[in-house]
Amino acid sequence: MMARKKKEPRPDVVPFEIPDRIEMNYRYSYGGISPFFRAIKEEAKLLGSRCARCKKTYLPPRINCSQCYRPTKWVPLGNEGTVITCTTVYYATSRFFSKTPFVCAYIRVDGADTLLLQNIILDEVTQARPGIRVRALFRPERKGEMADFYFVPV
Amino acid sequence: MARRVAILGYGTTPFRARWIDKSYYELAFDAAKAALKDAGLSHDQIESAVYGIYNDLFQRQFMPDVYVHDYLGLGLKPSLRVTTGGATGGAAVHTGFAQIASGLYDIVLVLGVEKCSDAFNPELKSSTPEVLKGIIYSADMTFEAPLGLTPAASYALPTVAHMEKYGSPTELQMAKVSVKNHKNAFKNPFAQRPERITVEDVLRSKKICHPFKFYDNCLYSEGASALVLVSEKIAKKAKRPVAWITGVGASTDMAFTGNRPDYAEFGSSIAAGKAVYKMAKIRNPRKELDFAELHDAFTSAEILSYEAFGFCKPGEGGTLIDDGVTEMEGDLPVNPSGGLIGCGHAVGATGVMQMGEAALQVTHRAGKRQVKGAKRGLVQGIGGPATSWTFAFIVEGE
Ligand SMILES: [Zn+2]
Repeated sequence: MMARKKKEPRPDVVPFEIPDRIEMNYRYSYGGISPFFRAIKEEAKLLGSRCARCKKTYLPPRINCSQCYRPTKWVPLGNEGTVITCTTVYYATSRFFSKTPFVCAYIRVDGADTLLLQNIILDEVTQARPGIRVRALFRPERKGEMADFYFVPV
Repeated sequence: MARRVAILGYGTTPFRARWIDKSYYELAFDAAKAALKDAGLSHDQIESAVYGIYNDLFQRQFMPDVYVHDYLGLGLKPSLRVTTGGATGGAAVHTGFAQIASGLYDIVLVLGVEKCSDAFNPELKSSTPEVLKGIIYSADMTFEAPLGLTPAASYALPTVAHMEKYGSPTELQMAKVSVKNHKNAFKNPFAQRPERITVEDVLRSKKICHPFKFYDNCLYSEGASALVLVSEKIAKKAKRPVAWITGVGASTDMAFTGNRPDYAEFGSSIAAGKAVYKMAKIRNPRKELDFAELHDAFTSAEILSYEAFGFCKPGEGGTLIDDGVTEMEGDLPVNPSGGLIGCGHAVGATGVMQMGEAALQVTHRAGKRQVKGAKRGLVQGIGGPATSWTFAFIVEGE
């Protein structure tokens, strides 16, 4: 019927481990949304993309409207928004292990119709909750990536 | 008209935190051998194989399926691998079902396998943060992965939105799911972590990601599970009752998840639920189902799934666990196997194991975890960012 019961390892096999690693380098192109990341890096500004037909503003942006298949247009957005849902991360991946606790939140930036994931930096992580108003702050040194900015309570 | 599809054989390895003495293809071999024995068939009779293996980084091998296929002695037969995050096993079953229902093949092996704990962070001297890193390469790498998102956060964000919308599930209700599934696992000889714990143990355990504590999480597991799916022609020759897959439903929600109109609902499970009930002609799931194996990756996911699959109204999932409805002794036991929380989550194998468990239930071969008189059950696999994929099945006895 079902698989055999738990068995002792075969006596002729003693497990043998080696350290190993997979590596890969990239020169990743942001493609059509390059203007969004260039505006973050060079101007410390948030750009959305708007479909005039659907009256929908995307943030994260997309250069094509997924609803009507027409091209969108870049629109400048403000720096403030509202938290829709959020969580505090206490146990993270290898890369973020030393940064805990930190807050990840979905934010509706004013003027956008979609939600943007971002970190919120607060005095007390327990203060993070849906409904609070937040404002984007840009780091002085920027590479053109999402970690170039974060939100704080207004 | 789709042909009928039966589950003729099921085999699984125990789920464990780590199988140091077996490679991924050796685990696959054990599950395939057991499933073929259960089906009373030999591997020569398999016409096609579908492999559910989620993560290449876990296996330390891209295209791991092609090596499994050779190791199982299935050379020159057709094979295909599917990978859909946590729903990988479910997607593999869905594909195998389609191959038989369409008339393409009569005997298909569906095999899920995963081995994650070879991933290891030498500085932290731990597997878990490295396993989490391996999973987060599946998050949107441009907008979300760079912010420290974790698999738990991907479930916590819709959970918090749901709590904000309905005031539930509460952390106490979630804790009850953990207690139930750890307890159910005692009766499953293949379960990784049966534990007798109290709601206080859950509520007091280490914070992982608000509102989840340690005991709200499923387990990281290694293991392999296999099914032999057959057409009616082959099933008729079986000398014992077989299980039938009488409904399938699948849906993929928006994976750029900020684009979703309502973050508080499991949209793909709602859609897959409607489809699976339509196909199986189920109108009142609460009355017509005898049990369910739901994808309890986190305790709240089980409760939100009660709602998504119409066991109750939206926002009322927590009252089902409060009222004991989903306990083994209740009207509609959920996760008699122990689920992902008690039995384990060997990603690619999980959905296959859940289907095997459902087949055992409806053929009354589930041993100590048998739901008395079980005739019909629901199986759900979910995966991807904030539950993007759902595969759902109805499994019925003769
Ligand atoms: Zn449009």
